[in-house]
Amino acid sequence: MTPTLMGRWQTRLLLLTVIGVPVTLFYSIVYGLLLGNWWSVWLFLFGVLIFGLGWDVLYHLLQQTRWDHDWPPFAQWAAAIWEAIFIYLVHLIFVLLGGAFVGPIAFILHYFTIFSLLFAANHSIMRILFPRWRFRGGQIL
Amino acid sequence: MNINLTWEDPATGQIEDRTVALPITLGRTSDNAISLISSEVSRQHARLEETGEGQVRVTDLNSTNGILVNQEETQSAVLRSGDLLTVGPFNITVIIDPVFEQEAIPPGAVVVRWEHTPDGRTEDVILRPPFTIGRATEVDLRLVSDEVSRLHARVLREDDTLVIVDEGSSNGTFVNGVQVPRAAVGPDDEIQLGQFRLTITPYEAGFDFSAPVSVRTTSTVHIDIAELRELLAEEDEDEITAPVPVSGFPPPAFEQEVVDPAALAGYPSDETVFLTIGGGLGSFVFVDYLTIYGARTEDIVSIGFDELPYGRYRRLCLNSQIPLHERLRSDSGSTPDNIWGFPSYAVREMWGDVTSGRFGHALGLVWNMFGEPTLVATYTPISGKVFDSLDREANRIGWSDMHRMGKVRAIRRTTDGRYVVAYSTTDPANREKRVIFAQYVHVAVGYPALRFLPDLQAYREETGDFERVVNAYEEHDHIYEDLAKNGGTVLIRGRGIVASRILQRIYETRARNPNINVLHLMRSRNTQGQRYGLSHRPVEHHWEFQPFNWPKAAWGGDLRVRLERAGDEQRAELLNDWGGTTTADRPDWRRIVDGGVKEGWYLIHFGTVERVEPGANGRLNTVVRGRSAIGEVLTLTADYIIDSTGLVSAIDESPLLRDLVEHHRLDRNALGRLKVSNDFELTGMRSGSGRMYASGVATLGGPYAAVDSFLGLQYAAYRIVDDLARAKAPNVRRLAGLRSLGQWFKWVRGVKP
Ligand SMILES: Cc1cc2nc3c(=O)[nH]c(=O)nc-3n(C[C@H](O)[C@H](O)[C@H](O)COP(=O)(O)OP(=O)(O)OC[C@H]3O[C@@H](n4cnc5c(N)ncnc54)[C@H](O)[C@@H]3O)c2cc1C
Repeated sequence: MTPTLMGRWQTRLLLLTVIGVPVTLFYSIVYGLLLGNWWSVWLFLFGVLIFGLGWDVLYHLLQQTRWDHDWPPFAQWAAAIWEAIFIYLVHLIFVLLGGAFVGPIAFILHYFTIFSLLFAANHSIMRILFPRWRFRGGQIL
Repeated sequence: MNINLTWEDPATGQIEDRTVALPITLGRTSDNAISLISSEVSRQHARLEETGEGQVRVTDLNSTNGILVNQEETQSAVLRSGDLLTVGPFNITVIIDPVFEQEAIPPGAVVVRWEHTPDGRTEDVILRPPFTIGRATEVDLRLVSDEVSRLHARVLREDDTLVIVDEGSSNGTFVNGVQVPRAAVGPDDEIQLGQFRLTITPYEAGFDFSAPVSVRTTSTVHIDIAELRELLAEEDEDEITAPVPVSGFPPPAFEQEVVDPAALAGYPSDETVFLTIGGGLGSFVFVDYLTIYGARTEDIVSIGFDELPYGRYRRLCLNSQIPLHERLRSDSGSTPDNIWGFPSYAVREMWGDVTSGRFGHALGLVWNMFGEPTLVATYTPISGKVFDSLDREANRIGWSDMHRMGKVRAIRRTTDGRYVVAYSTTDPANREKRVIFAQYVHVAVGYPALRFLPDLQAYREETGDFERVVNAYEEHDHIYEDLAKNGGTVLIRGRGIVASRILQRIYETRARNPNINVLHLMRSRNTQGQRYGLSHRPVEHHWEFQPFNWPKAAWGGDLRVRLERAGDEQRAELLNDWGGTTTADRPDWRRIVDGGVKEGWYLIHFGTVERVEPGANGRLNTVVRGRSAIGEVLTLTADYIIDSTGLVSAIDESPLLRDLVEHHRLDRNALGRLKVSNDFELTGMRSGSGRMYASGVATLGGPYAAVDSFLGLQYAAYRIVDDLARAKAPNVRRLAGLRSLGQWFKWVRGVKP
């Protein structure tokens, strides 16, 4: 699927809601019980969503420099890693301001569970539930 | 003064050929005598005019991107016949009128004939001394061989004699068998450089070259019917006969604007709800969607020549050297047997590997899917596997119950708000002329014809030689068999994907017989790939690369949206910006080309062909007007010529489509193809509640670029079937969500939709 900007936004919103929320709920309970931290994972999810809407604009511009205007899998992974680093840095700033600290392993587990499921959904169930999605650059509506 | 301009249209690959009287302007808008529609071309880009001395001058009119003459930027330049003028994505060969052309041959010119003794290759080159000879690209006369030095010798005129001077070559220059540092040479002297034997004679008027340049006025892709019949004989010889009423068929009532069904009594007839014409991949994909959306098989009829939906496609693949084990140029998710694109061909191949224990290969595929197209070459499916998958899907949806073998002659609207189609069945046991009524009609008849370069077509017509000059899409295995046995030289024309496949096949044949050489004749040099916005395409050895035949985003990304939103004219512009002849960036192909260039068995020449004629020993001479500064003329000698310039997409070459457009006075799009709405409807054919649609290459120039591809055919099918659902066609319901999931599971289990 070659995303359009509108398609990126809609797909991000939909998948972070449908996949991100249950996964985060799960981690929220696990980390809450184990580490006593119930809320940080929700902030991560929210951060990925809000900042992501902005990153999508940048990715869209980068696509314009490629002859195919496409966004191949390695770019999807590179973007995911970049966003992970970014959101973790933002988290560290919050820590300096007195927020709760989340260890890198705990963060990576949560983040990459979501991303892997998103990646898999993009390449399978999205195509099946929304047969027009791949022709519309990821746009659902 | 008249001059002749030829260029390849990037959007369609068609050769444009215009003879115009000077002065003229070239530019993007239609008020220019030559309008070149592209965002890289300014409104008024350049002017061509006659100078006081009777020469032709080109001047840049302050354009944004400038002009190139023979690949060099210039503000203004005097053109010689055969020069290449580049304006944006257009490479225009300028042929100046014949009378003027003769004067352009410099006085004192000589004809150098060289022969490569090991294989008998010869060439005639017209040059004016002084000139240089050697292996390097910069010299005037290039002789490519290890025994020739980069700059080997120079020929100059001293008073009235010609003198050859050795330029310190490693292997020396010989005249009549004697090594010389410098010697006078006359017409009878034999010069030897490495394994090349040369003679130099004064150029005389009356040399073949002086034959007048034929002024071509027609569009050059036309193939005459007789020839086409020959070419496609395997198909059905009737395929190509125009729909002339033979003994009342198509029925005389078809002369009417709208046909009254009562007037057709007497013809065997039946009716259906959905009719698709062509029965090829476009029809198959449409029917696949239709049945999955809920239409009943009893309500669907397909009519086409071939029994199998991929019959013609497979034939074209095999002939153009894509054997069943080769990979296509197609995306992994372009799955004509599966409307969801999941599982993709790569996933299926990987699954096959895993279940049969080939884990290494499976891992390779994972890497492939992850890294393409930047880190590794793009994954493409194996052709035989695609056919197998189509067989499975055809079985599942009951294709053979819906498909009839026949040739469609004409399509008409009826007075009761439907359509009627006249066709003859091609079942040899039961050749019938029938009519069928339908409420919804879909046409996907594919490419109307093979493209033949005009000079090759002329040669074949004059000589009746169909063995030595072939189209890459014709059956031509005899060439490789002969080459394997006897060696020889092949001349390839065209530089698209088919040329790559041919070259690959020759390369494989060279393993059996190294005495095979390839001359690749290209219309023009290509050193910088096409540009669009911030991006451009890579080039190597004058071949230009792109994973597929359009930028990928034209299938479903931002370029699809942009094209759909554009107006008619702007669509032509975008298609020219994105189009052009390219091949796939496959590492093996690049190695073959690069190796061939270095080893000397693969030589690239540039120029415009003047004619092709029989040469000595049954070989073929191609007379080429090159574009070196002194207007050289080359004769390339080869045993075989393979025209790899492609297929014709102009709808006028299809009798059925031409009749359709003319009879119903349908609009055409900016590229002269069928004008369709964003839902691929031929809006001019509305008939009561009936609707008619088209997909495939006949709709090029419309809302979608990649119409001639598996995924593009699926795109068209989804738009059409969604439109049918909105029109409340019987049982057709929009597919999404859980119903789509349910249908997908049926696909997995292989049960009827
Ligand atoms: C060599 C080659 C390789 C290609 N490889 C790929 C690839 O790898 N991936 C990709 O996505 N695309 C590829 N394409 C492009 C495209 O997918 C195919 O051309 C595809 O076959 C187009 O489908 P179609 O239905 O338009 O035409 P076709 O499949 O050619 O079907 C049209 C059918 O209509 C029949 N017909 C014509 N006139 C009449 C008439 N009057 N009455 C009855 N029947 C008629 C013809 O006989 C033919 O069977 C390739 C094309 C070629 C030529």
